[in-house]
Amino acid sequence: MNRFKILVVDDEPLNTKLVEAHLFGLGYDIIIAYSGEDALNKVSSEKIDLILLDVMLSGISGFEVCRHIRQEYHQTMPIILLTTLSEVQSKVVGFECGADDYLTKPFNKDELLARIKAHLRIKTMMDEIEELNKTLEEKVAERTQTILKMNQELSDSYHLTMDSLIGALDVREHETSRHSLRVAFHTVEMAKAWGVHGQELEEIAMGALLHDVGKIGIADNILLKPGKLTDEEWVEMRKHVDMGWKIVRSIEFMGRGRELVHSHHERFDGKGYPNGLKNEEIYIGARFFTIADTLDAMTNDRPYRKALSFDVFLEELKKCSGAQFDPKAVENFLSVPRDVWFQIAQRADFVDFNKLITAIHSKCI
Amino acid sequence: MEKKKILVVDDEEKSSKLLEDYFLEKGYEVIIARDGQDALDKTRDCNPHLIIMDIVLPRINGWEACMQIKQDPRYDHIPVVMSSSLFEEYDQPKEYQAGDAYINKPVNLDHLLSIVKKSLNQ
Repeated sequence: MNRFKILVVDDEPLNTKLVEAHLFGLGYDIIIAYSGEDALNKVSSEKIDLILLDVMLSGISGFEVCRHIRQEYHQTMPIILLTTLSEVQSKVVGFECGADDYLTKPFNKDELLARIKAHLRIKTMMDEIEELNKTLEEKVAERTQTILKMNQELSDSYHLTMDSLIGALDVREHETSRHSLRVAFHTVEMAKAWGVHGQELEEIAMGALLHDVGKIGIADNILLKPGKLTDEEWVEMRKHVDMGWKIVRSIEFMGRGRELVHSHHERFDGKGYPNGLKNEEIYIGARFFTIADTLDAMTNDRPYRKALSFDVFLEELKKCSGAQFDPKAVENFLSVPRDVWFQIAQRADFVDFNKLITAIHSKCI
Repeated sequence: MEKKKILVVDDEEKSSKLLEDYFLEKGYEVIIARDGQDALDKTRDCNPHLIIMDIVLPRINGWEACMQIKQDPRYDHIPVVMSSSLFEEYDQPKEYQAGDAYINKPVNLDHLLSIVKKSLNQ
């Protein structure tokens, strides 16, 4: 174990010699400072374990030295004040300046040595605690890094799963992934305006993105048919929502986004499919989604017609409020300035799902 | 009976005045010195019977002055009472023990008087 280093501060050289004489041979290294300035220099440049500090110094006082040390250097280094001022008030001032203890001159040698020993023992324990804390902090930081990395990998793999599913659908029916991204952005914006945030917002994004994943299971002659579908073909086509549900239902991390996939063709008035759910029975994310889906369908070109204007869509929205659409969801949509919708529509064409997720977490789209 | 001469060495007037008044009243003659050098000079010039010496003094400190007195055969018989302001009276480090007796500062006057009387065989 290292020897303790004690700094003795007194502007009277004989006093420092007397103290040194008593401490000699006890295993301490003694450093002397003859002024407050000198003491501060030594504290800043050397590793000192304890200070014996005379209060009545010429120049800056012992109280000031004490205060400086506490503010700028050491919180835990023991400081014992040596004082002739035996009034209660000056003792209080000493403690307020950050001293740990005081001795009133003339003092007893054995008491001085006992106090030095006691404070060095406390200091040693404080140092050990500090050391343990440091090790602990390092361990925690290390583990946190590992967890963050694992979390990132897990999250990456989620998004890869999303990308794969959406890619699989895109292979069958082109333009699907663009459409999916646009409706995902729109749905998320509505959910945000509604007050949804955090994990559920991400679940809604995933659900919106994968809403048509069940179309993977629809035969080519129906899915890719250029003309109108017959009634029988429509029956087949409508099965894509149940198929989608089968595909996503075991993907835990999609959370309520799975309900969106299953319910994205339900109508507020109960005339939708597959289960004819109505009103609040339909997951709110799905109620937002039907608005986003209609917006995207109307304002983009179709093989059989050109894109319609946003205002035409707004009329349709208001007309079908309470029938196809939830009136509260419609109101919620209208509360968002129209410029926002235009910006989202444009941006969605240039970003991918990962960016959408990142944007959700950074709370700006 | 001849009055005994006491040399009081202290750089603080307040302290020396207190001792001076006290010992004058008790029937002693009192001489004052302000520092160690002054104490050596007045020991030579006035030949005191006893010296009360503060340890911390300007120029030559009390310990050194006492050592010089004790090393001089002309004066080594003069009892020196050291007043200690750092360590308690019985706690002077061995290598810094020079005086014949020690008292704590601030001084307990009656205690000092008993030491003075004993030292002068009174």
